[in-house]
Amino acid sequence: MNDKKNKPEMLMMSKSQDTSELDEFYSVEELRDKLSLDDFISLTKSGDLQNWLCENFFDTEAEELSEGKISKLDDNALLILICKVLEMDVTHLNAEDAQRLESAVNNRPLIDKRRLECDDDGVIVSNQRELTTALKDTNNNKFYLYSNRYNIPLRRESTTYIGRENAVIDIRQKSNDIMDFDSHEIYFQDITVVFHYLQPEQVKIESSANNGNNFIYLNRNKISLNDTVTLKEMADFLSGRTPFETPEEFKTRSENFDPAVVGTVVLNANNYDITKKAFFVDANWEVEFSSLIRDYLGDNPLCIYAEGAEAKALLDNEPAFLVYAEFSAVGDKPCICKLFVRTSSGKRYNINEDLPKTSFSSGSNGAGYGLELINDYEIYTRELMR
Amino acid sequence: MKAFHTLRVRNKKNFTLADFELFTIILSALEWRKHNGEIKLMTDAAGLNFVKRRGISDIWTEIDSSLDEFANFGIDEDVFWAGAKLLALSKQEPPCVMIDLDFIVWLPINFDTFGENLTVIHREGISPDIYPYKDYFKFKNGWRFPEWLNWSVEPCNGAFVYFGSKNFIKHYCDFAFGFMKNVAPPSNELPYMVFAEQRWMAMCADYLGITIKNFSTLDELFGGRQKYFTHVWGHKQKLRDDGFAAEKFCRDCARRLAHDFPDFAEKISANDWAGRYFD
Repeated sequence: MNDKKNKPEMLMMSKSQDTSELDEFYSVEELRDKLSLDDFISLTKSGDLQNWLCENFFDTEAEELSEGKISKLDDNALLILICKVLEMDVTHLNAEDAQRLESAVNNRPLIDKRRLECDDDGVIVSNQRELTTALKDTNNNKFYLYSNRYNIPLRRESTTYIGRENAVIDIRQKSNDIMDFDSHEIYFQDITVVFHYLQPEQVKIESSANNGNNFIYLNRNKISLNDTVTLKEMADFLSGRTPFETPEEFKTRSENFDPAVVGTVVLNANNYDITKKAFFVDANWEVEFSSLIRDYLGDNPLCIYAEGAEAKALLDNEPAFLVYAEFSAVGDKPCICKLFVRTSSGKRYNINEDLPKTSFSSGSNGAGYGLELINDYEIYTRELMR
Repeated sequence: MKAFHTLRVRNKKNFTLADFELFTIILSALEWRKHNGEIKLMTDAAGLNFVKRRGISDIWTEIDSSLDEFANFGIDEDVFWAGAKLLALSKQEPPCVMIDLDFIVWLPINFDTFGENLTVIHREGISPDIYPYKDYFKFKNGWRFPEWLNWSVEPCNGAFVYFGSKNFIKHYCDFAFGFMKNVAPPSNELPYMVFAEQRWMAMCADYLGITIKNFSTLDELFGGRQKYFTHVWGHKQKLRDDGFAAEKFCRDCARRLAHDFPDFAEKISANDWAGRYFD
């Protein structure tokens, strides 16, 4: 163990074409005993391992790891190949290496499956980092985007983005200019594209209209649910109680305030927990509401409850939402008392509220309403005084 | 305003209601009487016997136990478990209010201007799993939907409904009875029941040119922005699953009863089922 811990420093030196550091080894067994799996990957990528194999008469092994055979492999595939070629005894790996190998093995079927799903002329990516790296190579014009959220460069022309496993592209463009994807030859296929600030008439995207895409226009420009609140009114409201209203009046004003747009949320299949029947999601919050949202959510994860089939339908049909907040007041300041999202058909999902349990789901969401009124002893007298 | 509850027990052996359901019924009836007027229980012989045994028969201003007639309608009450509500409605004189047993109205409502309109607690979205299109329904005896049904009108929730028109009640009930009698045995019963009670209610008003108004909206109700209505609704399942929640609910109701109706609270607390919830 100690030997292995000390090795990486030595091996970093060997990257500078200096293979002499391996000269102290005379057998594959010694290599296996002394080096970590990451060391093997580094040595293989630099060619040092292959050189050492040749020098020590392991020609077959060196050939199996030749540049032609490893150049297109990612780290996971390379690691698996090294283990096979050098006949690693997996039962003798330390915990860290065992976990590394297990992770590589577990990821292989997924990568192989994805290769089968996609044509050879495109680059498969699983996250933004991989996409950004691939975009830098101007020879790549077709990208298969897997199960994640992506930002794309709008200035990169003649590019096709193909979605797999509920991938989502976010487009954030606030100007009033027309976004012309057609003339820039930017094409989309089988993917959800969320336009955060744009209206359909501001986007030219006819070329991709019939390619199995789902274009969602979030209308994030609006301030509140019914669009009845101006920016100034919102700013005034957030600044709290005025000197001319009592705390009770301010509370009433807060509770009657049109629910405000406080952020956006995009559902993702990877974030659905079937045991809890909920999406655990991250939202993009509007900065103005950050302290209210922190006070409301605390350390709790953000979750939207939906039963399996309902969750799948949400994901397939409408995976992006504006998040609305309802308000109340604590002292002189407004506070959030509820967060929710709404589907385009008007169905409401309260965030972080209990899972529906009833089979009679028409509108009830498995809950009741006005239950707090059972303990509100002042309703009658207070309402009569109005 | 005259209101009515419906409790259809049929010949179910070992029929009972949970304590939290009984407390809700009591508050529903007594709060209505306190703020809005008379309330009648429409039930059957077994239901009458049940409410007497539970010591709650005097929460209503009147009890009509004629709902055993529904057994002669040729309607499968396992499918149309709330079908007897419509028989109960057909026996009412408008204006009247149909109110579910788990629905409480906490304040007076001024019905003076309601007239012949239909007014429901809220409308419902046309969710295809709950409210499928007409092709979904299967009938026997050559029965079929008439062409004039408007499938685009949003259904009405039937938990709390004001009926102002005699003509509406007659059309609504007669057609619903015909529908319920002539369905072929379905595998998923819910869309059949909610069509008869809720979707058809809206279609019928649309057909007769009767305005549908609503007391509130789902957003307002579930957003906690109103002080008039409590509907236990889907929360009943939570109370069935969670004994602690049910216990707390019953204690809250008992405390409210003691506050609003001290005489009745004293009386009902003498019953075994209720006494343990009172402080």
